[in-house]
Amino acid sequence: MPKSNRSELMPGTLDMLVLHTLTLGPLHGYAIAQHIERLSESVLQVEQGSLYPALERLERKGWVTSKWGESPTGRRARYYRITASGEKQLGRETSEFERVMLAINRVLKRA
Amino acid sequence: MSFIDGWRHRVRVWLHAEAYDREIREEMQQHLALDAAGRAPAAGGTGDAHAARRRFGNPTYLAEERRRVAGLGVLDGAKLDARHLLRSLRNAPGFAAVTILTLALGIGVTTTVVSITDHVLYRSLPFRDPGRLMMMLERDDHGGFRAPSAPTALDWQRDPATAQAFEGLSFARGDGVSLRIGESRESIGAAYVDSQFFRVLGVRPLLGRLLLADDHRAGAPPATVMSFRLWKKFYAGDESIIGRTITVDSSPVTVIGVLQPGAVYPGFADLWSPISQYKRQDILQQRGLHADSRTIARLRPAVDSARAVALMRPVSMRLAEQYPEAQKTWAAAPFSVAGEIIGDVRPMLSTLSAAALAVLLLVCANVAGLLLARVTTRTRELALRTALGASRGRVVRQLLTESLILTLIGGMLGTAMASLLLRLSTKAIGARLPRMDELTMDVRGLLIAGAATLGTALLCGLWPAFRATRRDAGAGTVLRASALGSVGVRSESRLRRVLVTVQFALAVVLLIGAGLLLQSFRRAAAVDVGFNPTGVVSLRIQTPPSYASAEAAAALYTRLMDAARGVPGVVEAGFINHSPFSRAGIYTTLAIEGRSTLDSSNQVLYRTVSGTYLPVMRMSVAAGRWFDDTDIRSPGGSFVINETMARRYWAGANPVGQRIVLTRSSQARADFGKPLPGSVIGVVADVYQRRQDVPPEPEVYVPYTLETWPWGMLVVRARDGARVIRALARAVRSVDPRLVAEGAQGEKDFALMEQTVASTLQPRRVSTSVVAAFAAFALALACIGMYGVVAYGISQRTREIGVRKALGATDDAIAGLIMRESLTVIVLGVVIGCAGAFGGGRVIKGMLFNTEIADPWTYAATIVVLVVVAAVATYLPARRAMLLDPVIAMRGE
Repeated sequence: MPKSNRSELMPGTLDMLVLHTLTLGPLHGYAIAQHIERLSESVLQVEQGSLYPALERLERKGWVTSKWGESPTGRRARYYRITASGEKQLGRETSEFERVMLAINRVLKRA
Repeated sequence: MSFIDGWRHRVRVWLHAEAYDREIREEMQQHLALDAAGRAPAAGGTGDAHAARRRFGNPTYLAEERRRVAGLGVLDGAKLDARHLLRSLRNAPGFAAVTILTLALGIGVTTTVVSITDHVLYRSLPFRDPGRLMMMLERDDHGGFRAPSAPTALDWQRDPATAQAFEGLSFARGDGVSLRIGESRESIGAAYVDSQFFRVLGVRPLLGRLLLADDHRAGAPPATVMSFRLWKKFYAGDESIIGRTITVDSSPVTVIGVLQPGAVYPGFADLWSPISQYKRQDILQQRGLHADSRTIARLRPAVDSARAVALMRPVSMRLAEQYPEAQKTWAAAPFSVAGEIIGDVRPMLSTLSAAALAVLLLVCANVAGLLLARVTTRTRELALRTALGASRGRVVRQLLTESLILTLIGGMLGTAMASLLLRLSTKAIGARLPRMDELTMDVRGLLIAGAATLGTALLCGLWPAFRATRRDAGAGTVLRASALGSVGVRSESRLRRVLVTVQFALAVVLLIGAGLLLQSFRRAAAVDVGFNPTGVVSLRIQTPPSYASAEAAAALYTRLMDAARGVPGVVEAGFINHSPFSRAGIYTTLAIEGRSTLDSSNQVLYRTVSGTYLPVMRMSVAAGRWFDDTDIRSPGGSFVINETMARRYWAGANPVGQRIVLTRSSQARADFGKPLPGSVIGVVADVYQRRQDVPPEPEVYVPYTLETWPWGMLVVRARDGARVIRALARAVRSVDPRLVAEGAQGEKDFALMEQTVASTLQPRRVSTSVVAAFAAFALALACIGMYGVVAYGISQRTREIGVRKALGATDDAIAGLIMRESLTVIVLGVVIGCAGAFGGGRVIKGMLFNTEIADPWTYAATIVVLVVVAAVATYLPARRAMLLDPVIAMRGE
């Protein structure tokens, strides 16, 4: 995969992606990372480890809670779950993101 | 509830910091493991853990980042700081100990004094707005005072001018009553009050209600309000007391309320009843002297006491015209009730407050100096750490932690000290003030002292830290400068000099204050009270109702004296209505035959005594003679006066043989106010009546058989006062068992006159020793400060001294060089301190006795002590400089 086809994330979008991913249900960190990578067809290049400070930040804000549990393969894993206020935040961020994307598209088309 | 979820998480992280740390690492390890396995070649991945690591990023950095986000970084820093702090304090135990102790003392002392002052001034008086509550007296043209009589108070109440000055005015008549408790009778004080009383006083009931207009109506069922202390003492705080009937002077009275703790006015009262219940309504008709009554009034908000005097003047003048005999020359004079109750202690409080303020300032100056010195010596270390990449915030935080921890430990010690000091103070002055047993630590005092010291600590800890870590060349300069060994930070050392000067000035102020107080104490204690209290035992006699008649009371006193004389070890026994230093006394009105200018304004202390009173007290006769048996057996009007009275009324002339007329002064007797003519048969040397530091007043003695007081004091001279008490108690009980309780309880009723006299100097003793201790502490601190400054100065000038010595300077010259610099500090400190003491001397004026604020001996002694001690504090480090080897000194550090 050529390097030029991969994009750095826009600042702040990681949080949104994580929250969006968690709307599927409780997931552990590795699953979240995989999901993001798969959905974006590897276009969005996330340094997977940077997920964890982001998760910590979300949890401190109360948008996500976590609990240690058992994975289907019997491993102990920490599962993250989106909270009600997390979903609200996701809604806000998504509409904000769409507004910005719309504006950017408009600018680019005019140019 | 994102807020709650978020905080729950934060709290969990903080509480289980170490476990959370492990969790973070475990989670990341797991991720890496899953990734490596999931992308194994079979699953279409690149296969190795290495690639997983690459995708993941730097786990160490990311874990650190997550810890930072989680807030664990701060904890790390704090832990490091604490460890560093402990290590560095262990290396400087002297610094740590002195700083902590200094802080503890400053905080402890300030908290104690603020707590006491606040309690005494605001909480010991449970009356609404106590500053406006006035006790009304009448003052005559000659400066004498008397309590207004009931008719006078009534006239005041009726006069519309009174309402301009006061919101309300009320009269209360005091009386001794007997209260039946089970089988026994207790003598207690009662007040018969008018319907305005509780409104003017401004108190609330703790239980039940106060007296209402209905209770004051003539013919209303007798109702009474009880004091908290009486309720606790005899009714064990039983709330069912409300509505219960008690027996007062053999008649039933219903208790309708209990007052708040400490709400007692007049001070002797434990029951308050409507004045219509007072059994001696005839006394309420008498105009003139009323010793056992109180008139209180509440100032209007915009009126002060001087304005009230002016407003009341026309009222008094109208009364004087109407009743020339009783009211002429007498004018209404309001006095603050707060002053009446706490007046004694006020000078002591202002003295202690001033001393505590000086100590707090001194502690701040000292801590500032200590921290400055510490940071200055660490300038190099801080600069080095900055150069090695420690962030400025990190260094500043480290210093902040240090100041904070020191203040915290100091604060804890200070709090412990304050609670100890408070307990001691309760003991020392508790008996003189109401509600001292409720004295508690005042959080505000703690906060004030804590804030002052912490502020100082932070300021002094931080300012040099900012300097040392300044980016613009700061670190480099400091490092280079110390490498060259030249003087490091000049402004710090100048500041430290200023601080030491301030400390010396404050030490001088405290030393002079302590000196003045000590002088006053010595002079007061050395006062010859006019009698010999050693070996005198006194017992207050509360006569049971069966001795109501004068004859029965006189017979009882005679039998008591006889019984006491029979006790082995007793030399003589006597009787007096109010013994000196007992905080009780009564005045009689004096008239001198042939002098028309005298009117009711001549009040002299009135003592009715047995003939044996003089030998018991070992007083001396100055002129004429004392009472003999004939005077006592058939009292026909012979009086003995004291020297002050002789001087006041017969200046220079011999009063013996002069005819005078006294007034019968016991209001419990039917013949109250009747004239008592007679002649002066002798003059006795003055006896101090209140305290050693209050000069004697005019005083007249009459035989106890002439006017027999309804109660009084049995005074006994023994070879050893303390040893006869038990036998005396038995002897008194053999006369009447109701006079003294059984066992040790009864023995407590006896007082040793020596202790009674000494106890009046107790506030003076306490404040003197406290201020002296403060002064000694201040001097020690100032010397430590001086030593530090001089030693530091020498360490900075090692090379210079080496050069001078190499060039042939003598030891004396070197020592002189160093001493000269400290001399400036000492002289400045002394000058400023003396000026401060002279200017601030007013504060302790109330505590001075026969001593001027500018007492030259105190000033001279203070200066000598200070200069000598300061010279020693300078000389010790200076000697080190003299002994310096020039070669080593020049080689540098």
